[in-house]
Amino acid sequence: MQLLAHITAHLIIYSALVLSLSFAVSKVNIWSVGHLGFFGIGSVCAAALLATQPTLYTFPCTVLVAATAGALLSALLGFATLRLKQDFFVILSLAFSEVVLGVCISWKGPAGFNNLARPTVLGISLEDDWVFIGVVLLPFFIAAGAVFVRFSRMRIDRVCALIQANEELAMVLGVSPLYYKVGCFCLASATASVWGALATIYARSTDPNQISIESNLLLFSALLFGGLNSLRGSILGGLLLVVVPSLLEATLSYSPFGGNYAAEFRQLLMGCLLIVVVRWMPKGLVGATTLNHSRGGR
Amino acid sequence: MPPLLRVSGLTFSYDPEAEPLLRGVTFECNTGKIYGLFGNNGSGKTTLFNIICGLTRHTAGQIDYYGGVPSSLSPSNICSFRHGLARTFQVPALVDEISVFDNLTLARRSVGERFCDVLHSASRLDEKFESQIEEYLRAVAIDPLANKAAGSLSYGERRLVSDLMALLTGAQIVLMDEPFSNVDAGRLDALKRLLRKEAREAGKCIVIIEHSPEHLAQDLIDSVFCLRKTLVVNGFEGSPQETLRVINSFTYDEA
Repeated sequence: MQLLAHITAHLIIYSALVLSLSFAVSKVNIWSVGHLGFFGIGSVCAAALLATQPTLYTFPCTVLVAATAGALLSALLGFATLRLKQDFFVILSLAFSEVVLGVCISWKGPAGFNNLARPTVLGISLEDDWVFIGVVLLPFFIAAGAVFVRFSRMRIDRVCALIQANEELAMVLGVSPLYYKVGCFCLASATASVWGALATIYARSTDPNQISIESNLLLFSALLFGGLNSLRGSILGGLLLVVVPSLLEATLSYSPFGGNYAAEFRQLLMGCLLIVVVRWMPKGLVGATTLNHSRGGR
Repeated sequence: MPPLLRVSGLTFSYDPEAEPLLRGVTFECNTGKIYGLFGNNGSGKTTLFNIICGLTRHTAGQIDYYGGVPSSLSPSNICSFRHGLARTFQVPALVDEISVFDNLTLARRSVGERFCDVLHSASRLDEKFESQIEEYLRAVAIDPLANKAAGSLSYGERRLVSDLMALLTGAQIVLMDEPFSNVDAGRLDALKRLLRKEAREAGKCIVIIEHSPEHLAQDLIDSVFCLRKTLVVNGFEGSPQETLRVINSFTYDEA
């Protein structure tokens, strides 16, 4: 039961994270390859607040601080770098994630924060994992999904499509691509930060390994696998990140290799999947839009 | 009343070391008129359009829109300044994934729509604008294409849709880069009628770049500019025969 709760919680967290990345990539073509940097920001904010003042900083305050930190940092990064060509942004985004990783490690060492207390929500104790999933993770995921679906039906979604199709046309139609891009990037990053905070509250600890370059690339592969611009695609991406490794580990434990090589096999599997997806399934499993190879930012 | 568009002493060079592409270009465009801008390949016609709408920054000179200068010279700011500015591109630009009708609704963004309006549902648009789109589509006989994805259109159809998009913005200054290329004869006449109506009834000032002056001189353009580094013909107005003679002698003779 405990393992099932653990897998469910991680499935929700990673699906939501893939969804926020999907938003940035598919709506305004921002390849936020270092997206987990923002997850890390939220995670560290929550941990620092919970470790220092467990009673003062209650749940909504923690989430709010994480969201604000993510939004402010992404706005700074966005205004400074989104004028650049896409290739440069990809590199800077990865560098940002590495800086966050560096700060986390130098602050609390490779083990991160530990033994944090879970705050209460409206007087409800969140100590039980299933209660945490039902009261916090699931409502947050439903809210994020609803915002994503609603956005896709608004006129702003067409304006975003216009910016992706042709920035010069967008500009002569009175649209400022930079503001839309930074706005969407902020929303995606603030969401990632909130999920970082929720993951930390759930796990009662932080793990700097979660935001390594390797994890960032895994997250991006999961997005491509599930499919861009799709809620279902993001959940499939989350499944790939959470359930497949667990199944692989369980299967390998019966094989002659034992469970020792699970991490290596996981990487091998992801690499092969990525080749298959990019070559033969440009929309991923259930994606709504094709991966945009050629268009650069202005 | 000040002219809708006044360009004075405009100079532009891609390379500061080289001779400028445009030198001292000065002209005025007034309300209710259609202007033809002619010149050889590489004479700087499209560059001039790019400079006017802010996509390219000029080296020297001044451009006044509706007798004023916008606070920031970013293209989005220039194009929504006062009564707006619209332009079409040499290669017709559309959003391929959405329908022709939805593409035309994007024209609403530039003039008169506030940011909070884009947060409304895409299916809810004011009826007046919707019927205006339908009217324009009918005017050039492409109304059966309204629900087709823009990506599936032929080149000539894309051209017509992007021309309509510029007119639907409601901007009073309209710059059209080769609006008739690849358009069939029947629709070409319909488009000319629409442009004349826009100029006469809505008071728009329309500047057209074209390479085949014969049919335009006859029945469309009121005034002619010929560009060869600077304006060698500035606002010539005369009979179709005279206009044609002027265009041919000042643009294509000494290529």
